[in-house]
Parts: sequence; structure tokens; C-alpha cells
Amino acid sequence: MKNIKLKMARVEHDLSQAELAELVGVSRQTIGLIELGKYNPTLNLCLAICHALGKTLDDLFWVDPE
Amino acid sequence: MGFFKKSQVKDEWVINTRNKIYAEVYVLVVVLCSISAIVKYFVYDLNMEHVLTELIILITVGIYYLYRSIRLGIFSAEVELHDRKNKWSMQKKNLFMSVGLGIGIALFMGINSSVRYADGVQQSIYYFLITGFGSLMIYLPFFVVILVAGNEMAKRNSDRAMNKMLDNDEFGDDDEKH
Repeated sequence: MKNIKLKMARVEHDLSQAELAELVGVSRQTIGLIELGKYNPTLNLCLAICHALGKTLDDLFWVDPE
Repeated sequence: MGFFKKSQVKDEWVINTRNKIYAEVYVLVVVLCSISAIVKYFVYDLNMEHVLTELIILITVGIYYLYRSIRLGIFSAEVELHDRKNKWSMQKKNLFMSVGLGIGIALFMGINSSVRYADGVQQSIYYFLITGFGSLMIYLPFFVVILVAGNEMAKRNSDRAMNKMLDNDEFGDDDEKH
């Protein structure tokens, strides 16, 4: 499932995938795959992304149960 | 009535730990094969055909890792992470490594030839120069092609594979900020 919230937060900060990747310390490909929902990040990576974008885990990664 | 509904959650700790063990097993196999090949070749003085199995295992796992890392796109991601963290880019390192290896092997061949086959100082120098130069002409381009051009080609293919993966997005997401 695509992570639109992450993409929106990144765009809000006027960051490219490569810039966010550099802030977090991962590759551009990893950010791209997380946004596409093709890679499930670990909690540590989720937290690093949240810290970089000034958001909470709820803001970026919460999904309502089906 | 959720009694019979199977949980979609997999035990990540078990999976990650198992993957860690697989990685350790891979290293163990490579180390054991290398030790076996070295012992057979240098200690027992056996021919190349006796270490062929070990060489095939070592070369096959190397090629398989390279192929999979290119197809899954992690090759270019690894290069990107390396280049970001290090002062010298991977390409520059490979270039210096190939030049170093080429010169190193040429020197070894030259010295080996002059020590083993030459009579007198003048012939030693002559053999050293001839063999060294000849080896340099062979090994330098070989390592440049394998390490520098091979690395560049692998990176391009990996980039292409990754872009294909990232392009499967109907919103047209890419590396742009919008």
C-alpha cells in the first residue's frame, strides 16, 4: 500500500527523495520504495524519517485496521 | 468471529535472525572453500583441477550475489551510500585499485622472471623490463575493464532495474520534489 502521507510530508518540507534519504542516512531507492509501499521499514527507520520531517509515527505510518 | 482468521503478522525477529544466520553461513562457506583451495594448492602441492570445485563455488556465489544485487537494485544503492560517506568515490577507488593491482602483478612477474631465468645483472634488468612491461600491458587493461568498466556497467543496470521498480507508480512519483 502506497504511503501518500510520507510523500506529502516530504513535499511539505520541499525535499526530494534523495535529500530526505541523505537526511535519514539511507539510499534514495529506500525512500522511493517506502513511498510506493514496496518496502516495510523498521521502527528505527520510521522514527528517523519522522524526526527528519518533524512528524509523529501516527502522522506518517498509521494505517487503520481492515 | 475472528477466531479462525490467520494473523497476517510474521515474526520479524525470527525472519531477521534466520537471515543473519544465512549471511554467516555464506561467509563460513566462502572461508572454508578458500582455506581448502589454499591448503590443497600450496600445502599439498596439488594441481588446479583438484581445487576446481572450490573455485567454482567461490566464483558462482560471487556472480550470483552480483547478479541479484543488480537485478534488485541494491548495487546502485550501495554505491550511492558509499559515495556519500566516503571522500573517495567507488569509481575512483576501483580505478586506483586496478592500477595498483596491474602494477603489482607486473612487478611480481618482472622480478620473478629476472630472478629465475636471467644470468647476470644486465640480463636480469632486461628480463625484468620486458616481462614487467608485457605484464603491465596485459593486466592493467584487464583490471581496468573488470573493475572500473564492470562496476560502471553493473551500476547502470542496477539503476535501470531500480528505476523500473520505482516507475510502477501511477502517480508518476519520482525523485522530484512535487
